[in-house]
Amino acid sequence: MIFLDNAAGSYPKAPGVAEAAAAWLKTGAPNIGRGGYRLAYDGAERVTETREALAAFFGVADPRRVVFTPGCTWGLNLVLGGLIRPGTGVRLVGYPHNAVARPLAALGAAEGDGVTVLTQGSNVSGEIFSAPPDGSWLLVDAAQTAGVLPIDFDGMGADALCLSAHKGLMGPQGVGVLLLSERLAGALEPRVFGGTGSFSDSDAMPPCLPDRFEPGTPNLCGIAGLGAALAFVRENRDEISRRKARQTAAMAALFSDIPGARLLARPGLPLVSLDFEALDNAEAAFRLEEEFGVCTRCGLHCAPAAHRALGSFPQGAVRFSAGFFTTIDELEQAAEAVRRIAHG
Amino acid sequence: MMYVTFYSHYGAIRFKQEMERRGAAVTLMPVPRRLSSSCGTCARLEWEDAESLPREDVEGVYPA
Repeated sequence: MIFLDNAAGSYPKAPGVAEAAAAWLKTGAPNIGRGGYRLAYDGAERVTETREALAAFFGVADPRRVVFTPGCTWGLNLVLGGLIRPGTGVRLVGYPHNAVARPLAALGAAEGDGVTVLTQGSNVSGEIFSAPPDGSWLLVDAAQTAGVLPIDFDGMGADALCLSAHKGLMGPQGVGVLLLSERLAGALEPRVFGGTGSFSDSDAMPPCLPDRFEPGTPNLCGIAGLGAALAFVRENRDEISRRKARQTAAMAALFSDIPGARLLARPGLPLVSLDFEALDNAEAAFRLEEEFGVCTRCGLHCAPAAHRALGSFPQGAVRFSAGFFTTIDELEQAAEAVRRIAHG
Repeated sequence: MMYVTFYSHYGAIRFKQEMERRGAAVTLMPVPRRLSSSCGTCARLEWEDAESLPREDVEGVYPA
């Protein structure tokens, strides 16, 4: 099998992830911030270590501004739901995923300048986008870039950045991270309410971070896995950077100019999408796996705006996305497979 | 002996780690109900100079 669907979820995971998640479950799986016994306090210390490691890795001066969420989509909803009211102006930079487009539609956002939402890396084309701070609220969807590109959150002047554990960081599904600026942390209203194990005598959410935005029990075994993933990514930061650059260049070269398969855009990340001309894209994806063992993702990739902009709506495209463990040889095999089927 | 209460569990963990770096033996435990009804985690420790305790995240310091 040649697994090229890492933009949806990395495989394999970073070494140590499965063991760390399993160890949490096997050693008592305590909740934290609730029970007053040593097992729970030890667990809380491990979660704190991961929170602090994330802060250091992503350039957040105060680890309190690192909020665990159930995923990137959840974080985006928390921020958009707290900021957007009907008619609030929003400027989109990059191609928004439905994790951005749908909440904006549901909340009644309008085109305008109050909030900027930057999709830092397109999950369709692999293009990279940027948006310098301009005084409006700046929210960054880093689903495709976290763990792939260097991110200095405080330095980039953003107010919020959302990421998931299971893509570039090579961690488990079901865990995300929301980074908040000081100014947004002070202004953002919670959208999810519940127990935090603190200020329990009040109906209001606690004023302090991270409790204000972390009601309910977090995905603790997932956070344990994320901690192991982050340790691997941190230790291999330079190699990750070199490997991603090689993969990106190789994919741009290998997948361009294949007769019958149009490359949607030249990527800045190690992922490309092809629109097959002589056969249905779903048929192409099916044959790539059936005949060559190449796992891809076809369709609209939950990002119809990207396909509209790139001329591949509504038929979508077939996406090939490399991960840390993908070899150049595998990419060459995948490109050869495309060449073999592209004529129909 | 004293109890130290905090605004958040995160603050309690940070306090424990900092005081252990300073050589204190810190025990985390549920906040005594007579001190607060808001639940949470407190630290119990021996420390001569209460004024030198880290104050970030600290809600209150009480004699045990």
